[in-house]
Amino acid sequence: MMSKDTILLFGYNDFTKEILKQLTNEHTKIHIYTMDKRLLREGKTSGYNISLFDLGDEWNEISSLHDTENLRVFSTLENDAENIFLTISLRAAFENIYIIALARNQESVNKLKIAGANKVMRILQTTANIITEYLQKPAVLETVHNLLYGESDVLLEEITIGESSPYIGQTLEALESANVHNIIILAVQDSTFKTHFSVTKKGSHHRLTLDDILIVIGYNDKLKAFEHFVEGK
Amino acid sequence: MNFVSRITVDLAYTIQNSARYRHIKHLFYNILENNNYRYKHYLDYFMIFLIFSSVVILIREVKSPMHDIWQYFNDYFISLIFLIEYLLRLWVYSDSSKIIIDHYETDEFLKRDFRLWQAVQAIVAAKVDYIRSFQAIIDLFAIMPFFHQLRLLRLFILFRVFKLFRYTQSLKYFVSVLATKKFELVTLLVFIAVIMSISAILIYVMEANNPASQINTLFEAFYWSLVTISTVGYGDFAPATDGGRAVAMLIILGGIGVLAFSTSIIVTAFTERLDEIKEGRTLSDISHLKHFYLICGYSEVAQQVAHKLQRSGDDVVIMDADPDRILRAREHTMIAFQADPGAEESYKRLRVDFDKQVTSILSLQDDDVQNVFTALTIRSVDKKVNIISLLHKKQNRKKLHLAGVNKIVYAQELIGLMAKEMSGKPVAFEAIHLLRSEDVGAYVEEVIIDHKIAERIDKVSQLNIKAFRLILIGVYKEGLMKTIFNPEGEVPLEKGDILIVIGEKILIREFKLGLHLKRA
Repeated sequence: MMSKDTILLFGYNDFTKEILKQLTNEHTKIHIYTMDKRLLREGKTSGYNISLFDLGDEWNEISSLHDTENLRVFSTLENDAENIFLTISLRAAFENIYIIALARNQESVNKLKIAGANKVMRILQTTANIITEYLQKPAVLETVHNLLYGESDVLLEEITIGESSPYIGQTLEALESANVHNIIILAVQDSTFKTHFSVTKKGSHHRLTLDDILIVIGYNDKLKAFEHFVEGK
Repeated sequence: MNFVSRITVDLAYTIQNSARYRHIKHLFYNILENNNYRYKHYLDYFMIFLIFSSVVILIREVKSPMHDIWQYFNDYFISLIFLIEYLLRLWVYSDSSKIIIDHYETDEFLKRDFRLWQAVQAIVAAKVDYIRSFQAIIDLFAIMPFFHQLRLLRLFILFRVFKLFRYTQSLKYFVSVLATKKFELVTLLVFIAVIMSISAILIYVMEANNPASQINTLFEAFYWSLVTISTVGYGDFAPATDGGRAVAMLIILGGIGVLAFSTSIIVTAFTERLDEIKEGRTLSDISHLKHFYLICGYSEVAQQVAHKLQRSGDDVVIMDADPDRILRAREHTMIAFQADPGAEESYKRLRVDFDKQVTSILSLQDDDVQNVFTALTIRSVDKKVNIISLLHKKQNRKKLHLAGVNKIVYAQELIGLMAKEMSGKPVAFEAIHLLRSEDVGAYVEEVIIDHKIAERIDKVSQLNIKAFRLILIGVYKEGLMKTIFNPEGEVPLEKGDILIVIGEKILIREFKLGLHLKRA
């Protein structure tokens, strides 16, 4: 039986191990692929579901074992050139899989995007951001960390504007004015994947359309009430 | 021991034990002599101003008589300042009370009578040592115009210009560079003197008895010789005889040689010491920074961090042993100096107060061994400075802690956390990531509630945050070390709380200003 919402991790290294640590509780099925036989043995010893692969593969195993419509793939190989090649190979084979790739520098970020990665994790930029935030805005770092990684009762959530929403065609500012649920409307991502922040002049005048994704912050019960409110229920 | 000796020794001990006296003397030493002292340049600028004022007055009074007030300013005020400066330098140059105590204790140790006269001689010798120095002689000449009745002494004002050597680093460098070529320059001067003397005597012999010649005295012969050898050639004196012209041809050829030789000496001296001069300049610049981040190792992460810090207006200093990386840092307009971050000497060369000037040290090298070694070196130089280090291999985390690192950044762990968010809420994560990258028009900032704001505002509703079109994400309670997210209006505010706000930069600034205006 094909599994839904499976994660495939390409590469078995320090990055992958940290990703595994975070995702193990989130998803029921994670499959690791490595090109190194020694790492294959190590992974098996650690109890992971791990197989060998080759960059020249036809990916038949993936299509036969998994529902490629619901796959999330992490391309975290040791070097950027291999990640780019893997990304373009997977995109060529499967049009709809969700690829998150690792990039060590800005040059690779651009190439990975062209190669078809949906999201790129930038090692340098992320590390530099954390260091500078720690130095300049330690309270912001702490707050954002708690918000993102669930160490508080407050959640950061995405709410998609559905067909029944009475706010389609209205501005973000109008939605904010009507919001009585003590929810922070941080931003909205439109159909072109552009993010508009509600605090900017442009963002507040953005007109909501079907499938726009609202990014909101609030307590769980309030978030549910707000979701119903946005849907006009 | 006689009465005078006893009084002198007692006085010396009193002075040595007086913290106030030592503090004042140390302060004057710093202001006058310590180039790394933050406030010294104010004195330097003031003295440079006085020197130029003095010269301007001298030039002006040649053609048009100056008002008496300017004469008094020049003759008394400026001279008095220079006299005070001279005496202060003389005072701080040596420690007379220490000399007396040293002599007294030596005599006591050898169980003989204290010989005051010998101590006085040592004190005078130390002061004379200063008085005889080139700089002190210039300083003394610069005071001379004080005796304005002696008209000739007014020309000593020009000696004040030489005092510029004391106050300008560039002139000091220039002299120190030329000093490295002392032998070559002396040889050149001897060569010029010999050529000039021979040619002056020859031209005098050839021309002096010729009625058609303009060169009639030995002085004119020397003058002609110098003007010709320097290739200036005014033309006011010219040889009239064939013999004189032959001498002129020889001296012209000699002049070309002299010019080429002197140019090459100066250029070589500067080329040889260029790196040293640049480094000296960089170290001097660093020592004058009020607060800065010191980044050890200009790796790729370091480049991004340095760029971000610099962009937000912070001073950053790069230290790296690799000359290519230092070159790259300088190309990126960073203050960078080449030194091994793992060597204590590198930090000593900086001549900075780590506790006051260095905000944090970031060890961002590509290898854990280097980062551990650097942290240990920094800790052996300063126990308190905040150290942040990159971690490359998880198993080295404890080693970095033991080495004294305050904050460890492990990129792999950050990526793991990122992966969780990207996998679950990619859109929300991207929004937060965009906010942090600070190029989307919206910014996340900290606003600290200081005691004056806290006196007027005691709950969230009083912030009136919506009027500024800002979002208050939360209030970080310093005491509890936790954030109250999306706080209700009744949430109390107190001194030390930090508001985490999101908004356009200009509006955040207005909000901050508003908080402070409210208190006024």
